[in-house]
Amino acid sequence: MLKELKLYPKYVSMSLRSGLSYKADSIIMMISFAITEVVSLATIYLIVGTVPAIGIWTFPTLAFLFGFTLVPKAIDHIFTDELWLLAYWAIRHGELDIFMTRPLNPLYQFVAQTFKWDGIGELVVGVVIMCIFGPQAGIAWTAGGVIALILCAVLGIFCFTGIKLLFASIAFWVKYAGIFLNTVYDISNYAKYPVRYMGKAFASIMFFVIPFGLFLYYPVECLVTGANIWWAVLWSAVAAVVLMTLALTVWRLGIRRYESAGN
Amino acid sequence: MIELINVEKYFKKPIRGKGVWGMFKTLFSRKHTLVKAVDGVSFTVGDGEAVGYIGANGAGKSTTIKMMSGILTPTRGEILIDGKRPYKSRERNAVLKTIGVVFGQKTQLWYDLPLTETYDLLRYIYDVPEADYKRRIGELTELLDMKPFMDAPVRTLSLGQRMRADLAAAMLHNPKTLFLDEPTIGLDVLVKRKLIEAINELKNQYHTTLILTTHAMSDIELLCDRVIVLDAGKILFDGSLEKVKHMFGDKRNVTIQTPAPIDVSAVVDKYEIENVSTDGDGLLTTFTIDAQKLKIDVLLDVLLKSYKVVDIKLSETGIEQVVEKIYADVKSDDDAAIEAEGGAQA
Repeated sequence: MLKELKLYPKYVSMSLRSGLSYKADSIIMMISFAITEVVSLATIYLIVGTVPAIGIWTFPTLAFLFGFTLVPKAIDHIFTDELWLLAYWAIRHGELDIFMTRPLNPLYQFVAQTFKWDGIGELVVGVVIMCIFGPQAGIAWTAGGVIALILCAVLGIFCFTGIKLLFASIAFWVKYAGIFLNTVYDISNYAKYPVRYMGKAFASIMFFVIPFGLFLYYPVECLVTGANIWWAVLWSAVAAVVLMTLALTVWRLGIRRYESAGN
Repeated sequence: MIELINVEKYFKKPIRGKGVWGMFKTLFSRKHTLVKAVDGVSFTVGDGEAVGYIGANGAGKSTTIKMMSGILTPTRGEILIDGKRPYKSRERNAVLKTIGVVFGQKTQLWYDLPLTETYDLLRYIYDVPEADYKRRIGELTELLDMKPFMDAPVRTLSLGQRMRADLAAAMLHNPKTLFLDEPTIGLDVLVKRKLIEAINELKNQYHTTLILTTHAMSDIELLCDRVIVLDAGKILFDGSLEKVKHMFGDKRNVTIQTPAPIDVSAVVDKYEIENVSTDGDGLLTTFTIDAQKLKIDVLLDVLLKSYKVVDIKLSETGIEQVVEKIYADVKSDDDAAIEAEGGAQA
């Protein structure tokens, strides 16, 4: 583990420098990610403007929730974007071969090779939205609340990575798991809205099956309703541990049946 | 020392139905065919040996190499590299530090960066001390003649340059064993020759154990002292290069193109020719000879004098022909043994 940490800056610098030949590409990606998110927030504004607010969920509160969901997602995006390639390409084409012949964790080597700095666009948009709408969101801010929310965001990164790795690893069995990953990402978008109003069945799924509701929506709900947000921290921690354990187990089972690709 | 004990690797391939409905059914069906890529292989390679691991496409060579280098887990059996198993998570890192791998069809070099960047990363991954690293980089650059492209991004290298660079990457940490999976694939004759000579020099200088798969018999002749022939996942032959040469001889093919079909009997009757085949409406005739029994210049002389030759082509034999011949020999030996046994019982 120590070696992995020590090597990480080296990987980041290599990834950044090899990306330099495609600098324009990255900048365009960054701006387009940011624009996409701003446009979807504008959509929420238009919808909320035409219908009366649902309980405490006024536009600023919704916007704050929206901003919060972007933070763990963006940070996960920056660090583990390569998992998309695992689902779509790498397993099918035997691209893991070279990592498996080196004395360093293959999953680490695979993920560390790409540091996707264009995800910073999303991150900045998320943080800016939170800063703008935080004061108007009807939240009684305390120092403890801020710390708890930051903890939730950090744990949320691990939840996101866990879910991504879990579904990408299905590719060891079906070769082409991109479709699963896409679906899961689509589902994550529902956590940008008050999950609790979406019907019991769907809400349960969002809280306990694919728990985007638990680690993205629930912390903000606690803040808005004045419930104890440390419960959200606890639940996010449980989700992070369970998801990461599950994902790493599936990865380990998968790598044992990795078939490479024939020469 | 490398030991393979009854190693098997099976792949399950789902049976796919036709059309959309068939695809849908495949999702829920557990029906599959079992492909026995490696089917009970055992051999031992001592330190410093150079082994050519050959066989036709799909014989299971790459699968074996991938099992020995930690990529694939055997279905059954054991692989021990100095007593440790590369496919066990606890033993993996210890084994992988002592081996180097080169795949002819894949590169481990960082695509958009100069070579030195990948080498530097590998230095950290393999914990090579800085002084050793500098000395080795120097030696390898010299030996593989890499100076001209050391600072160019990998994507701009030619295939021959890339192969040399990959070879250096695999040798940086001074591995005890080097696995080469078709290192000369796609290279032209001259570049191929140079690469093989370089590998030979590396082997002699560092006393590296070498396991090599290839499709070119010439690679094996220059590098290996032992040959293992694989066919359909089973070992067909395991012995010295001398023995292969003895069994097979030094075969050459001479193909001539003539304006009209020719009568070969005059040449075949007079000289020791192993095989004659015709192609292209009888206009292309191939003579296969054993160069040790009939000199190639003698044959050429005879052919040019006897026929009106439009074009001429010389070719060495490929692995496929060697395998075919060994296969036939082993088969007939087996048949003889079975017959002898049957006779004794009667």
